[in-house]
Amino acid sequence: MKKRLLYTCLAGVISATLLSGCQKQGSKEAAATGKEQVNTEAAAAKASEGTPKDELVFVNFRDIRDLNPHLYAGEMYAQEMLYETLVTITADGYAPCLAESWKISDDGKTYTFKIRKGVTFSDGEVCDANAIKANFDAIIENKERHTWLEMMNLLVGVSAPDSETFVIELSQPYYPMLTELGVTRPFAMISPKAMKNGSTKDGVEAYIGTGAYVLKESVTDEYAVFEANENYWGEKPKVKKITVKVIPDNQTRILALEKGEIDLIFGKNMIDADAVSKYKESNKFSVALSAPTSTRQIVINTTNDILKDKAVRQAIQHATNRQAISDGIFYGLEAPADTLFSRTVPYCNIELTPYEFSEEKAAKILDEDGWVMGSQNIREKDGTPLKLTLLYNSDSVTEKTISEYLQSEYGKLGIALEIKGEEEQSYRDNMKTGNFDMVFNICWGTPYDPQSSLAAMRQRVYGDYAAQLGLEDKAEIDQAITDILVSTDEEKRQELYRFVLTRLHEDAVYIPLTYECNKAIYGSDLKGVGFTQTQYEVPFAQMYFE
Amino acid sequence: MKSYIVKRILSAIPLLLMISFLCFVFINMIPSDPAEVALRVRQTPVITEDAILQVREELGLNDPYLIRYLRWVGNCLKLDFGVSYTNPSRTVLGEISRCFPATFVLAMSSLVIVIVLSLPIGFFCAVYKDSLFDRIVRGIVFMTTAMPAYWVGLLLIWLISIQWDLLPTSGSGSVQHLILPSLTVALTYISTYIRLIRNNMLENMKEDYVLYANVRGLKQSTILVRHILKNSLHTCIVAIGMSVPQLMAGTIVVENVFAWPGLGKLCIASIFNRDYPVIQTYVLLIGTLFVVFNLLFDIIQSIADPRLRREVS
Amino acid sequence: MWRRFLKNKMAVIMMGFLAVIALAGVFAPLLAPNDPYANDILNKFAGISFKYPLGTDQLGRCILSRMIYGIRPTFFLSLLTMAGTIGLGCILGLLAGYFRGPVDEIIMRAVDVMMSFPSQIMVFAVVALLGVDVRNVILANVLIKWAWYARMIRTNVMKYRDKNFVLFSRCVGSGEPFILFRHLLPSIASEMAVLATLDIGWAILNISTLSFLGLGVQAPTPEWGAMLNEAKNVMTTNPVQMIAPGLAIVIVVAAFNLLGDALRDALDPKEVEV
Repeated sequence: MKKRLLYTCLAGVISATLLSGCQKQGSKEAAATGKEQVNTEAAAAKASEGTPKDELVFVNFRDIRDLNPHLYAGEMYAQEMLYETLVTITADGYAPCLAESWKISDDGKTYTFKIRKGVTFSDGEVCDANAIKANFDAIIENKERHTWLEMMNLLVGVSAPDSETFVIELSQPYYPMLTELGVTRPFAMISPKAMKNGSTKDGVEAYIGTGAYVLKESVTDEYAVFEANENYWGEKPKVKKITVKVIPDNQTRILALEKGEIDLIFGKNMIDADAVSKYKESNKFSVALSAPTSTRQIVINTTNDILKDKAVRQAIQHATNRQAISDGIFYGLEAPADTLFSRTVPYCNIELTPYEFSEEKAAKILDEDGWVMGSQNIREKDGTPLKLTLLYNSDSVTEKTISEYLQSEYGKLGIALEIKGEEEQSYRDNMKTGNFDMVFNICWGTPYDPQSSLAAMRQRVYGDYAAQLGLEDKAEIDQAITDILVSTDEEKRQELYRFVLTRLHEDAVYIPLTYECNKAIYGSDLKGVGFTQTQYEVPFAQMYFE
Repeated sequence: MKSYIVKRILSAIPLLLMISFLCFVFINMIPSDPAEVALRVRQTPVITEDAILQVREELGLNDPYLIRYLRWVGNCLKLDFGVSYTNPSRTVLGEISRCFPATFVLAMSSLVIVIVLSLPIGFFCAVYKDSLFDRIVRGIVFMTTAMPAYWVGLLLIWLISIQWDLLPTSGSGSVQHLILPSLTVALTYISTYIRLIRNNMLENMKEDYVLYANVRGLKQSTILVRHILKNSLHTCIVAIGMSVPQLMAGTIVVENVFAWPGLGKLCIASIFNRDYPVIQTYVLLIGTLFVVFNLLFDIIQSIADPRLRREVS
Repeated sequence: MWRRFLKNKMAVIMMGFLAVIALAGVFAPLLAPNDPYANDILNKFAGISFKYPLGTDQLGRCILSRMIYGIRPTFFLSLLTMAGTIGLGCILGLLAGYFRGPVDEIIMRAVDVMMSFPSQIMVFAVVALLGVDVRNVILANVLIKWAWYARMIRTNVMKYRDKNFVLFSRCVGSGEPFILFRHLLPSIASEMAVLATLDIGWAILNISTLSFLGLGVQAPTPEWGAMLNEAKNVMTTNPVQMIAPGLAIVIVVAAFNLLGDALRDALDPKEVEV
C-alpha cells in the first residue's frame, strides 16, 4: 500500500512538472513579455520580408555612466554617439563638423569658426554660435579640470560676434589646437537647455546633443538604448537602433555573441587573443583588427624607494620579453613595442636603442648595483628585499595574464613581483594619486599622441606625473614639453620631441610591451565595421546589415 | 501570547543595536579619511590640508564617537546611507534598491525549488527508509554538500548553455535567465532540507500518537499525510522561513558566476573597489533581515505551537 | 575509543586516503613532474602529454604539478582555520561555562550576535575591511565559526561541571585550570573531533570559494579555487581546464565529510547501542 502511495505521488509530481513546463513555454510564446523578445521577433519579421535588420546590439564592460560631455566620467563611445565637436579628426586631417569652415589668423592666435546653419539639438534648440559659446563658458568655468589640454592655459577668451561666427583667442600660437577641439571631450556641445543654470560642472539635466544618435533609455548596469536622431543634419545612419548591454566578463561576452544575443564586440581590451584566433577562421563571425593605435606599457614609479634607482629600472627593462608576450599571449596580433611611441606617430621617428631582452644583462646590472640573491630566491640590497607590486586593471582581458607572466619571468631573476588587480575606477584613482610601484598604462593613442599624452605628464592626470616625480631631470623634461606645445618652428619642435623622448627612454620609466590595436568580432551579416582616428569611438554610423 | 510576542520583539532590539554598532565601527576603521573622500566626491581639483580641516568640521567628524554613531543611526533610519565612493553620482540607497529586486527574485525562486524538491523527496526518504530510493538520494545529498556552488554553476553553464544551447549563459532579463542560477543556489541548500524533513518525519514516526493512530486502525496513508507530515511541516516551514536571509546572502557566489545583477555582485565589486559605504549598508541590511526573519518565524511558530511559548517564558 | 574507531572501515579508509593526499602535498617537490610556477607561454593550453600529464594552463604551466602543490594551501589553511576556531571557541566556551555569571553573559551575548549574522556576509565584511589577503580570510573564518564551538563547549561544561568526578576533583583541592583542562576538556573531546572534521570540509569549500572570487589565495600560488577562477576565464575556448581542480575539491571535501560521519558513528556510544 505504501508503494501505491509512492507511485501516485510520483505520477503527480511528474505531471505537475510537465504541466508547468508547458505553461512556461506557452506563456512565453503567447505573451512575449520581455522587451527583447518583442525586438527579436520584430527583427525576425523584418528579415523575412527581405529588408535588412536595422537594429544592433552592442556590448560594453560597464555602464554608460554620466554622459556629461564636459566631464570625464562617461563612456567615450556613447559621448561620441550623442555629441559633436567643432571639427572632426580624420585620417586626412581636420574635417568640418559643427563648424563649416575656419580661419586661423596669421599670428596663429585667433581662430574664427563659421558655424554650420540649420543644426539643432535633439530637444529642438538651435545649435548656433551662441549655443557654442554657452558650452565654452560652461567648460571654462571648470577650467582646472581641463588643463591637461594645454589650450586651456593659453586661452584668452571666446566670443560669438553673430550667430554664425565663433571666435577663440589664444595668448600664444598653439599647433595642436584643432586636435584638442576635435577630441571627444570636453569640447563637445550639449544643448544649453540641458545645463544647470548655464553650468555643467555639477552635472547636467539631460544628455542632449546634435549627434547622429539620441539616448532613449538606460537602466544602470544593465543596458542603454540609442536611436537614430531623426533630425540629424548629416547623413543619417543605417542602423536605427542600438542597444548596449553591460557584460563585464570576457567569456560571457563571447558566449552572448555566439548565441546571437549581441551583434558586435568592439574595443582594445574587450576581447582576448584566444577568442580572436578562434573566430578568425569562422564563417559565422568576422574579425577586424585596426592598425596599431597606442602602446601597451607599464609605468614605473620613480618615487618608489627601490625603483628610484635607475639601474633597477633598466634591469627590469632587460628582463621583459616583449616578443614572448606578443607571440604567446597575443598570438602575434599585437607587435612587440620597443619604444614609448611607435615610430609611425608624428615626430616620433627617432633613433633610440631598444632595451633588448636579456636575462644575463638584467642579472648583471642588478649584481653590479648591489642587489645580491638573498634567501627565498629574492634579491636584497642593504637588507631591503627586491619586492615590487604591479597594479593591473581587472576589467581588461589580458593585463592579468601579462602580469602573471611577468611575475614568473621576473621571479627567475630574483625580483619578487606581487600582482594586484582592481576595477577600472579604483585602478585609475590609484594611478592618479601615484599609489603604485608599477602599473599598466596606455599612451593615449591617436589623436592624442604625442602632444596631449606628453602635455598631461606635467600634471596629475594619469600615472605619468607621479611616476616621473622621482626623476632628477623632471623639471627639464616638463619645460621642454611646454616649449614643444607653443613652438611654431617645425624643426625646433622636432628637436624638442627628440630630447624629451630620448630622456624618457634612457630614464627607463616606461616599459613598452606591445602596440595594441582595436579588435572587433561580429556576426558576418554586419558590414561596414571599421575604425576611426579616435580610438575610443565606435563608428556605428558606417555600419549596416546585409 | 501577546506578552510573549512583545518580549520577543524587545529582545531583538539589542541585537539590532549591536549589529548597527559593528557596521559603524567597521566604516570608522577603514584607512581612508572621510573628509578627503567627501572632497573627492565634490570633485575638488586640489585637496589641501585646510580644505580637509574645514570639511571635517562641516561633517561633524570631530564630534565624540557616540554622537556620530547616533547621528549615523538616525540617518540610516531615514534611509540615508550616504553616497558611493567610487561613483559619487550614485547614492548607496539607490545602488542597494537597484540590486535588491534581482537578488530577491533569485532567492525566492531558489526557495520555491528547494521546497518543491525537498518536501516530496524528504517525505519518501522517510517513508521508505533504507530503500534503494532513500540510499540513492542520500548519496546525492552527500555529494552536493561536497560540491562548491561556483563549480556546479560553471559546469551547468558549460553543459546546458554552451553544449546544449538550451538556456542563456548569464545575465538577467527573462525567466530563462533565472533557471540556472536559482537551480545552483537551491542545490546547495536542498540537501539540508531533505535531511531535515527526513529526520523530522522519522522522529515523528516514533511518537505515541502514531502508535495510537495505528491502533485505531487508520489507513497508513492517512497517518503519514494527515499526522506525521503535518507535524513535520511545522518545523520545516519555520526552518525554511528562517533561511530566507541565508538564501539571500548565499546568492553572492552564484550571482558572480552568472553575472546576475544583484546585491552579491554589487558587494564583491564594492570590495574590490573599496567602496566602503556600500559594503557597510549591505552588511547592515542582511544582518537586519536575519534578525527580522528569525523574529517573525519565531512568533509564527509560537502561534502554531503553544508548547514552545511555555518553554521560553 | 580507538578500537571502536579502527573497527569502522569507512573511517579508516578515509583517514588513510586523506593521509596519502596530505603526504603528497608535503612531498610535492618530489612528486610533481614540473615546477608549478615555470611558464612555457608558447605552449599554453597544451593537451595531455608525457611531459604535462594533465596539460598546461593559460601561461603554459603544468596543471598536474599545480594540482599537487595546491594540496598545500588547501590542507594547511583549512587546518589552520580549524585550529584557530577551536582554540578561540574552547577558551571562551570554557570560561563562560565554568565561571557563569557576568563572564558568561558577555560571552554568550557576543555569541548571539555572531550567530545572528549570516556567516558568509561576515567573511566578506572582514575581508573588505582588512583587505584582500588570505590571512584575513583565515581570520574571518575563525571569527564566524568560534561562536558555534564556544556555545557547544559551554553547554557541555554546564552538563559536566556538576558531575561527580568534577566535584570530587574540586573536593581534593585541584585548581580550577586543572579541572578545566584535565577533566572537562577530555570529556567533550570526542564530540569536538566529529564537529571539527565536518567543519574542515566546510573550511576547504569556503577558502576555495573566496579564492575563486579573487579574495583569497592570490596568484601565482597554486590553489584549486584560484585555478578554477582562471579556468573560468577561458571557459569557451578551453573548458577542460575546470575539471581537475573542481573534482579535487569535491573528492577531498567528501572524504572529510565521510570521515566526520564515520567518526560520529564510531565515537558516539548511543549509535552503537542502536
